[in-house]
Amino acid sequence: MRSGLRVNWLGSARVLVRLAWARTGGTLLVTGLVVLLLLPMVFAMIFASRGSLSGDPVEFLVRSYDSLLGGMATPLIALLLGTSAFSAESEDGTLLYLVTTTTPRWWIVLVRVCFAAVLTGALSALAVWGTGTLAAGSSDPEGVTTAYTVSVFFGGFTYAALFTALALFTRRALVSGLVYVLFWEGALSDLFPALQYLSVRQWMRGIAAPLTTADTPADLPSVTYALVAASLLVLITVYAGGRKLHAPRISRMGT
Amino acid sequence: MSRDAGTPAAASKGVTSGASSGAGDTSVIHDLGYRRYDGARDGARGAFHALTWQGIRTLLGIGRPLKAKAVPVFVAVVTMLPGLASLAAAGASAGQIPLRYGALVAPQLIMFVLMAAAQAPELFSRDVQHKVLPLLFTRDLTRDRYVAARWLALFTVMFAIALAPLLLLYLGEIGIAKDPATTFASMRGKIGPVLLLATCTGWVLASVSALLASLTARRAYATASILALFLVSAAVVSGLEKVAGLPEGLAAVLQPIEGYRTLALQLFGETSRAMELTPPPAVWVYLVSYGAIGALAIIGLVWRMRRMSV
Repeated sequence: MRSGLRVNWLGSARVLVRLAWARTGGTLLVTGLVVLLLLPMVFAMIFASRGSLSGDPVEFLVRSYDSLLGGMATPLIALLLGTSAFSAESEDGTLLYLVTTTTPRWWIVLVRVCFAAVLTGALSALAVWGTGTLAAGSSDPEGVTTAYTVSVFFGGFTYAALFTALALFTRRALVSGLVYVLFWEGALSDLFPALQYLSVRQWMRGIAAPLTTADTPADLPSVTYALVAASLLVLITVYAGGRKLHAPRISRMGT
Repeated sequence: MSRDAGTPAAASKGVTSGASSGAGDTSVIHDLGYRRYDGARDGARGAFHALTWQGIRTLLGIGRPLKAKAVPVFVAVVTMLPGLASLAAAGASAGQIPLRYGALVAPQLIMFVLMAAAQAPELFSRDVQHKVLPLLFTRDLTRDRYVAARWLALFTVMFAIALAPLLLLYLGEIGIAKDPATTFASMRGKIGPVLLLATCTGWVLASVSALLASLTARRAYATASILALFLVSAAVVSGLEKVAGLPEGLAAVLQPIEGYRTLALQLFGETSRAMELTPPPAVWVYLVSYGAIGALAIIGLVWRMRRMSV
């Protein structure tokens, strides 16, 4: 950052968020987000409608939070929100206009990460809360809803940083992000349990486990480890992404 | 585009009319003084072949930069590695560790879906994005033929990708045998299931992903929607089965990942514990429903391309 130039922090952040939203707010995308978020709630409604036939709500909640939200909705929403803005801008060349202003480049990256993170976390948390309320009333048995609310916020931030980095450093961010979610966190993690230290999904589980008394998978990364790893990821994204924007990738092919 | 070779106007411009290949081929290339063309005219059939072949090359990244090859190569390698590993184990143990086709290939399905999601938009969305459709449709190529050529390319590639790990196992099983001829004779029944399973995978994945990719010009959206459809349908069916008591037979067919696994196990005559507890639907049920899903998607694709304004 050069001295002598006044930077309008809030104003630039507002513009960056507005631009990101303009890239994201397509009908198809919003429909996708809504479907992903409504899915666990619909199941919870069915679950509640069957009354005592359904069995223990805690077990149901842990299962749907863990697989539907932690395993699917949170990473996919973060992927869509984290990659759409920078990918589209480098494809049609408007990234150049962003980086020729006096706004520090690390700030551009940080705002984008926060945009994707806050939105992902808020939407996922809404789904968690809605599912919990529908399935078990407002009682929050065994602290499971609270635990997973914290966990999806944490996951939203971490995934958002990871996928924003992908959007800055790779040309096909969406596909490489999907490879990460499906292959790295899915197939490979089943084969090599040691990968849990490099898997955001396992960090999320590690955050949720100590906060609830319900049964959760054993042998997870500790909370300390998860927090340190996630903070490092965010820091690296902001620093390296800012460096990367000194030579933004601009393709001549307009869309 | 004037297509009447016989008019005086055309003749006065200096029309080189080549040897026509098909009957009723009246296509004309005007000599505007840039470059002469007096090669063969392939007509509609040639356009179809060219489009199919170009599609196959695009999907596999042949003749394109390294980055375009990344996904096909990655998927091929990742799906073949487990097969190689289990062949090595079976070979080292002299046949003590049996080869299980279905159990080995079933987990690969998500990789095939990834391939379809990443590569189908390369054909359909890019044609819209780069506005080449008007150029194509003003030639001898009808819209239906365009769809047929693009679908054929996608189906061929998906079939090949799905066949590769199975074929590797099949050939490997003959290869590690002490007496290949006897093994080959006893394994004659396995090549049918190998081809059938690959055809099923290609049929459903190619048709559904082609339909979704033809709906949008943005590649990223197409990729996301193909994968989301697959993952969400899997989640919906398994969730409904657990929560709402969906009939197990129906769930087994509708749940893509589980259904594929059960079908693969049944085709190769293997069993899993879940199958022993509740007998799964017969193979023909799977084949009919997968056939119907693919056919519906193709109908939708043709309908969409006919209505599309270019």
